[in-house]
Amino acid sequence: MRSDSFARVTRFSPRFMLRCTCTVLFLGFAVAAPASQRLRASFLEIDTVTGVPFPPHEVTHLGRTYSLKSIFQDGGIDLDVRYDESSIPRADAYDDPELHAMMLSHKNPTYGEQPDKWSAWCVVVTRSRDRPSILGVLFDIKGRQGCAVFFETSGFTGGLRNRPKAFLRAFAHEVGHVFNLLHSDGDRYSIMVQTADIEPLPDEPGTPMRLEFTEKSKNHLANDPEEFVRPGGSGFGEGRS
Amino acid sequence: MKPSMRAACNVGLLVFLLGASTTGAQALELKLLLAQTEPDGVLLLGQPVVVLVILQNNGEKPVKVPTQELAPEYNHVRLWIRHPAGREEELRPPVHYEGPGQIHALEPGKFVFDFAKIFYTSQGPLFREPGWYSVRGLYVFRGVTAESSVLSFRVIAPDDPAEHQQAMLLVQDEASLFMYFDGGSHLKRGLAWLQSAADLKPDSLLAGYAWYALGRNLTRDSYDNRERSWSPADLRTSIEYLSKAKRAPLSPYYTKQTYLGLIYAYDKIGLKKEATALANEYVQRTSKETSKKWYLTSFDRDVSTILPDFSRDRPP
Repeated sequence: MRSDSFARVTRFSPRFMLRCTCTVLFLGFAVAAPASQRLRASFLEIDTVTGVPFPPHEVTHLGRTYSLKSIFQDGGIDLDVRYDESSIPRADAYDDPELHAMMLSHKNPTYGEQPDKWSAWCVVVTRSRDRPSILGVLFDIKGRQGCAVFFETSGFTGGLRNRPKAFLRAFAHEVGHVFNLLHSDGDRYSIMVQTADIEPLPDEPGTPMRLEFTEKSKNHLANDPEEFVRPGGSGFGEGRS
Repeated sequence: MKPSMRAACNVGLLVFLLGASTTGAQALELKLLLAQTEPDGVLLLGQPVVVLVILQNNGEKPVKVPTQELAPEYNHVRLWIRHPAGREEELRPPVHYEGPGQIHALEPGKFVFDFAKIFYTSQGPLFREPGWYSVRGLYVFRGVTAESSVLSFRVIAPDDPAEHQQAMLLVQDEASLFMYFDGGSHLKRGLAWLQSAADLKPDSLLAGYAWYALGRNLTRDSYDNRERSWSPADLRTSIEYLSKAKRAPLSPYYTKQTYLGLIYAYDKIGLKKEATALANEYVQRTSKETSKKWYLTSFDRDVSTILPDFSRDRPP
C-alpha cells in the first residue's frame, strides 16, 4: 500500500512537482520572513575601567543558559556585542560628570551607528561617588546616550563580584533603558523590574528573578517606531505609555 | 525691593510635601500634606531651581519606602511642570539611577526627604523664560501612591542689564548642564559661559551660583578627553571660588552645598581646623531657623563623610 502511494507520487508530472516545490518554498519564506524582518540590529559596545570585569558572557539560570545576545535576541534585537576597552583609567568612585565625560570620549566610532545598525554603549566602573549603593545610571541628554554599571556597588554585599546573575541582569536592565524600556514594562520578576523589588535578590537562593523580558518589553523592542527604541533617539520614556 | 533681592530673600528653594495614598492596604495609612514655605516664591531667571521632596507617613502603621531616593532620577517620584503658556510636560531628568537602593519601614509620623534639581532635563534647561510655573508630583513605590498638590512659583528677568546678561548665559544649555552636574571639565562651553557670567558682575546673586559650580568642579579630579587621563583637583582655586559663592545670598540648598564643598576642599589640603570651623559656622547660621531643619539634617549626613569626627549639639 505504501509502495503504491509512493509510486503514485513519483508519477506526478514534473510541472506539478515544480509547483509544489515553489509553494513549499514560498510558504517557508512567508513564515520565516517576518521573523528575520522583526529583528532590529544594534552594536553594543562594552568598556570597563582597569581591574573591573566585563559582564559574564553567559550564565545558567533555572536550567537555561542566557547571554546578553540571547536575552535581546529573544526580545527582537540582534545585538552585536563588542567587548572593547578594558583599561580606562580607574578611580575608586565616579560622579556623574566624570562618567558623562568618559562616555563622550570612549565611545568607539567603529561601532557607531550605521544605516542598518544602531549603536549602544555601556561601561562597567567601580562605584558611584555620591550614591554608592546604586547599580547603574542611564544618561539621557538629548537622547538616550549610554549607561554605566557599578561593579563595586554597596547595594549588594561584596558588590557584583560573586553575583554573575545579578551582574548580567543589571547590565541587561541598563541596556534595556538605553533602548527606552521602562520599569513599568516589567512584571514582578523580569529584567526591567527594579532590583529592589526582587526578593530574594538575584543570586540568592530561591530568587524568583527571570532573565527575560516581558511580552510588553519585547513588543516595544520589536515594533515601536524606531525613534522611540533606537539608542540616541527620543528621550527616555518618550513615546511610551 | 529689587526683584533680584526678592528672589534672593524669598526663595532659593521650594518645598512641597508628598503624602496620601490611594491604593493598597498600606496606602490607606498615608495622607496628603502640602506645605510651601515660601508662598510668594519668586526666582530669578537663570537661578537653579531645586525642589525639596518630602514623604511623610501620617498613618498609623509603618510603610516601606525608599530611603533618600525621592529625586526624579530614581523614578519613584514623577514630576510634571506647567509652563507659563499653559503647556504641561513630565519632567525627564538627564540621568536615571538604578537601585537596589535602601528600603526601610517609615514609622508613623516620620518622614524621608530628598532634593530634586528640576532646572535641567533630558531636553535641556527648563526655565528659559520669565513667567509663572507650577510643579506637581506623584510618588509610586510597591503599589503605594501619593500625589502632591500643585506648587507654583514665578520666574522673573533681572532688571539690571549685567544681571540680565548673566541670566542669559546661565540658561545656555551646557552652562545649565554644568550647573546640574556641579561641574564637568569636559563641558568646555558651559564652563566658559559660567566663567563669563561670574566675571560680568562678580558679586551678584547669579554670579554666586556660577562661582559655586566653578568651585565645586575644581574639587574633583578632571578627566581630559584628549589625553584620556585624570588631572588632579585644584583645591586652592576651588576654595577661592566657593568663598565667593558663600558671600552670595544663595538658596538654602546651594548654601549647604557651598559649605560642604569648602569643608571638603579644606580637609583635602590638610586644613582640618578650618574645615571644622566652617562646619560649625554652617550649623550656627542654620540651626537658628527651624524652616532649615531639612538642610541641617542633610548637612549632618553629608559632613560625616568628610569629617567623621565632627559632632554638634542638636538644636531643640
